[in-house]
Amino acid sequence: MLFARLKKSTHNSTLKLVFLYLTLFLISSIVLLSFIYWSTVSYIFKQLDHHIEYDNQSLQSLYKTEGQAPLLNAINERLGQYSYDSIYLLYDDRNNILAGNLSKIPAELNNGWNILKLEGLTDDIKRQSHFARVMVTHISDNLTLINGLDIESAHKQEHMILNSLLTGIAIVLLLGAIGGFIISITTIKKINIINQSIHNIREGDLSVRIPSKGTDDDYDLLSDNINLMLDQIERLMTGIKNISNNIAHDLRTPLTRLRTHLETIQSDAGNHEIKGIAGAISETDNLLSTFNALLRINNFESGSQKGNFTTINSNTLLKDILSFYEPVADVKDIHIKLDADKNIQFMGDRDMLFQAVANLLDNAIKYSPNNKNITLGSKLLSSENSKFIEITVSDNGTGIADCEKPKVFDLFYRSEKHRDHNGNGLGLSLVNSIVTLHKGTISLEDNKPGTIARIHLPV
Amino acid sequence: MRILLIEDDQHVADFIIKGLSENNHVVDHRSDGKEGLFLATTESYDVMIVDRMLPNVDGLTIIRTLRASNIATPVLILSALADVEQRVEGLKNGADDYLVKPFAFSELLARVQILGKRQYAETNTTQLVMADLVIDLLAHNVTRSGQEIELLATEYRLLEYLMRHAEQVVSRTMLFEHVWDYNFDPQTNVIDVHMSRLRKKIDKPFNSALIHTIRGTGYVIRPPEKINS
Repeated sequence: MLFARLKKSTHNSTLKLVFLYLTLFLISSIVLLSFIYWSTVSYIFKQLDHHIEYDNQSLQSLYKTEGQAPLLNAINERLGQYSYDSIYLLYDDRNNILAGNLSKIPAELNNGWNILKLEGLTDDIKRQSHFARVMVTHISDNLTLINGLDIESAHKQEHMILNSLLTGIAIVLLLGAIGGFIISITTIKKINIINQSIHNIREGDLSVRIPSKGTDDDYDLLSDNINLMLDQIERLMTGIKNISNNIAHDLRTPLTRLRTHLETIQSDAGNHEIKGIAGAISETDNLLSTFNALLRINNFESGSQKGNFTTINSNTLLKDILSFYEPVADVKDIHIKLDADKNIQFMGDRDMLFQAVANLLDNAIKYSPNNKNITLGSKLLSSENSKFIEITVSDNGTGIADCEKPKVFDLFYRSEKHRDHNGNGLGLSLVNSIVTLHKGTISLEDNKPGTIARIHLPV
Repeated sequence: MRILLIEDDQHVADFIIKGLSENNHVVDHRSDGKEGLFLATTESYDVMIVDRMLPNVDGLTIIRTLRASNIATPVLILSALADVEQRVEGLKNGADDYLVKPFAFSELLARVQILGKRQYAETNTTQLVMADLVIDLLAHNVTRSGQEIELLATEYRLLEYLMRHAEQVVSRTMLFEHVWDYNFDPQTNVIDVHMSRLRKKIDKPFNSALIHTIRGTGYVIRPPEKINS
């Protein structure tokens, strides 16, 4: 599962960063180790050269001060005393070998430094494939001295160093990959926790907070900061809600008094004024009902009104609503069809649910042309581990544009098409808050033409 | 009617006293729960209007005490506590009706008048009569001037409710609560549509109208001669 998540997150920046880091790490290790390799190897060969040069100079000066015989002795002495690695050859201008451990005079020799392949130059079979680093000096007009060292062991050292450095790089790469993998996983895990929490918050539960590990690391700091920001957002939201709540609440009393005054005036008014006063009263009633609806939505959403849950019979509820609205539909020659085969019992607040479904039906009638049918339906649906009742109100009316669907549940939202209709833009918000209080969901779908409103409530 | 008002908000109390007095009711007012309870147990009233949150003794305790001492005077709770649960709680404690603040005065008046009448009206009648309109409660049958009128179930219940509270104004909310038995302010004109259907059957075919709309409040059913007077 974790791998799947990692795979899914290849576009994930953490993983990218780890790869980048690993590549940089690899490149820098290669550069560093190549430098170590190069300097070590060149040091080894420089040491060899020093040794050969020193030996050459001491042999030359021996020859210059003491002559040929002591030189021969010295070469023989060195060959006897020194290891196997030493190479010496002294020969005259007629190519007679005077001393040394090479069996033949090598061809194509330059004066100074040379690399010799020992194949055919020595009697030792083991050394046939070896190379030697030698210095060629004409110590007198007729004498040539070759001295040097078999560099096989130096080559071996060079290989050994190269091998150990390559192993080092491999280990570095492996450890880096493992480390990167672990870092990625832990980072992705931590970020996933934050993302999941933010997702839940976006789904509408503003009370969710990101868990903090108490380790005081960067992620904790990030979580803490996000949590603080959420606290502030929640405070502001509650503040705004409270303000609108308070306005609605505080304006109800003076409005009611206003209404009472109007009633008093109305009872004393002549026929001429009565109509105007009645209009004023009904406007006051509209305002009051808007405020009441707003307060009700706020009460449902804040959970201060939990509802009076009892067992509800779906058929009774739908028939009550149907009989309540039938005369209104009749006025527009609309037939309301009841599509509910069997009764479903579930827990709910019957007043609230009546309100919710009645609101949907009210809208359906309002936005349906004359002579069109409306269907009020209910059925039992079940998913893997839960059962729920689906209540649908479907009409063939003007419908809701797709772009408006997410907005229709917002407070005071009114469709441009329906601005001329009466209404306060709170109906669907109220329905939504009632459905949410019942832990249900509501959706609006296209009925081609018209709308299907679906309410799902847990059974 | 003699009405006891126990309400600690002076504004609201003045407003109620003024309105009720204008409608020829006598109002005693107390703003303290303890004093109110004393008056309620020692004096006799037709209706009591009680606020829930009161100094010293709260409204629910007053009602419980009254009911425990067998005082059956109808009580209307007047409260800002608007939840269904709170309303149910109030009714369970012995209140007869529950009105949420803020309220329209006409709504309060209608409810108070109906509560006052209820004491005498709760007799086992089999017939409700208003001029030439007769409801036979046993046969569920309605006649006017001897002519049978076919009513749908809802229409019958509406008419029965109006007749049981004849000559009293009933609000749309009251109709909704009693005829449909749902408790919230329906805030639609659907009830008017039902009423107009009922009137088409009860009044339109006949010479005189019995059902009248009271602007801003609701409906009333009364005998035809009363309109002229």
